[in-house]
Amino acid sequence: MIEKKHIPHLLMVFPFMALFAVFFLYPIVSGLIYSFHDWNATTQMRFVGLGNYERIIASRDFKKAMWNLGTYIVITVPLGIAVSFCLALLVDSFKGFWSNFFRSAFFMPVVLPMFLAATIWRWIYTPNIGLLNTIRGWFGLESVQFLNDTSTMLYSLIAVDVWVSAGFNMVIILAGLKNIPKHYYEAARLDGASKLQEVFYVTIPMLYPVLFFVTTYGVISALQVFDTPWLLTGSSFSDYGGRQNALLFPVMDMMGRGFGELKFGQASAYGFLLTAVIVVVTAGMFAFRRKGYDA
Amino acid sequence: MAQLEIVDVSKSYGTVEVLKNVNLSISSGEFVVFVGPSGCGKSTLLRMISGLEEIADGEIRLDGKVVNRVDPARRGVAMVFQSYALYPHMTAFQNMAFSLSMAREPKALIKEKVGRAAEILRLEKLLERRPGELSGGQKQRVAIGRAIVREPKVFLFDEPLSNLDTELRVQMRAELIQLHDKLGTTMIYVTHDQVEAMTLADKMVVMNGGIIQQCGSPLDLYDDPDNKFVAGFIGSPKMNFLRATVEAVHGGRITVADVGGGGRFDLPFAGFNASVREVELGIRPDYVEIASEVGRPGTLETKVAFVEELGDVTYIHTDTASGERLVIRSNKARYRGGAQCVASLDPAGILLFDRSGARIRSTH
Repeated sequence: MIEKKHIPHLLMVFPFMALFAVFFLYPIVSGLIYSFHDWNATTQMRFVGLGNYERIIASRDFKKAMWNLGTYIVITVPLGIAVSFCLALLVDSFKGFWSNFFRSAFFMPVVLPMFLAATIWRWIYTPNIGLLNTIRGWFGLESVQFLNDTSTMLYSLIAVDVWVSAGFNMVIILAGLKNIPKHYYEAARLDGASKLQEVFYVTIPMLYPVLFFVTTYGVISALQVFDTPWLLTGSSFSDYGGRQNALLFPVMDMMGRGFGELKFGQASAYGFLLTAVIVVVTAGMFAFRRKGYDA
Repeated sequence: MAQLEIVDVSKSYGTVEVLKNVNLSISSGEFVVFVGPSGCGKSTLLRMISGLEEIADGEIRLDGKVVNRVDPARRGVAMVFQSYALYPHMTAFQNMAFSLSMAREPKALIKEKVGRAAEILRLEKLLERRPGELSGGQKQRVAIGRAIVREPKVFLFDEPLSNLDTELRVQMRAELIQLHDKLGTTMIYVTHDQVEAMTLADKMVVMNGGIIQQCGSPLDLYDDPDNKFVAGFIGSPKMNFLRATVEAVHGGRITVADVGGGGRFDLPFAGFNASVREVELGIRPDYVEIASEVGRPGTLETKVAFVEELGDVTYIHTDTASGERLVIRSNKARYRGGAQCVASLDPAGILLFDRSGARIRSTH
């Protein structure tokens, strides 16, 4: 029985609970139900048990998407963090105007709408007349079809995503750098450490919590990669993934099955599979995280 | 051990002059304490000696060699920071061994040197612990150990005990004195705590406004200060200061009047410049007593403001008729705020300062 005195409290949390139920719980529960059914939004739902999950796992597209995703994560996350870290060190080494200038310049891609960033990069990658191929031309090199050659497509995407995400990670790492007390560097200087040794023995260990956050966030974002490859490869739910599916990724595959082929049951099952992967990977990262320390 | 000379050293941050023509000589094996209020330039001077702060003007010489442009790691100095500056991700051993690892010393030598320092500081059982697992005193000992393994010519301490509680601070002070006796190395110590300075120093350097006000042994500075700043800074409770007018100068004595708004004192003083009319009397609470008779020469009528009863001693804070504060040391009297009290000033403990704060010394 709800006591009378609790009624005001319940009334106060009701708006949030209602919104949470409608926009969060309902989609999850209904998605879970769809994932066990064959449904195209126009016909009656037909229960198929784990059939949707089996079909996804057995499909060639899923395997290709997972392979692409694995390669993408292994390169993008460490490369992205390394670039962000170097940029943060660079910005941190400046003071006043130049520090603000570089911070703003490197953060610009983050605030740029994704479609605009993709358009810029499609122009940069355009065969013959694109920026990269024009530069290659100055050196007498042949034009490369960056977004149509299966050997370069994935790396072209990685370059775009590193460019887009570097500014965001840089700002976080920069905040971490500003929090490292100066006396650690002074002690290291007195102990004879070079600048590079300071980075390895002081900066990186002291940034561990920040780097862990950036890595975890980077991995979770990378697992859900969709917009950049989709915009770089036609932006259509009927034709996506690029040549020979070289830029096919799980979320894109899921969206294609749902909104392209109208297989909402499979799309829902795909969503739950991806969620399971993200949860397992994130939990694994936290499990292997080094225990914290304080000064 | 090393001799350190600071010659005409100045330092400015923009238009703010932090150090002004500092000159100081520190002998081998001396324990020197820089003491002064916050912002007096003592830490800046220490950091200039360490090499962490650039020397704009002047020279710092270590064993006769100018070290202005020598890298901090090559100066032969080691510094213990106020905040310990222990790397939280390293164990006590790794922290202490850091400088040797950077110099790529053989592992056996590192182990031996760290072991020796740990033995001196009784840290043997704590070497595998991280700073987060150590108490404040233990962290401070690790920080000192890190300095010891470098076998420096000069140890620099930047307010190393200020983060410790009172009891631990007293204990660490004793340990530092013993360490200095054991190592015999030149040590320079910065503090704003004059008690810490008095207890540790062979030589005390009192600084204010970027200038060395006076340097010498702690008792010399206590008994014979050069100016009002040093007199007031050293000693707790601080020296009492009372404005006075010189009434007469006669045969090795002077008479001052209007002391504390009405007192009159006849003091032995040789060589007083008769043109000086306004002076300030300085007297430590130890030389002020409660008098029983009102109106006796050398006494002042005061009103008790508040009383500090510390057990072994009681300090009675009184206000004179002129509103100046006069602290009396007593071990018997019991007074309450608002009570009338007669203070007797011992002429032997009275120092004279001119209006600029400089000491006027008797030529006796």
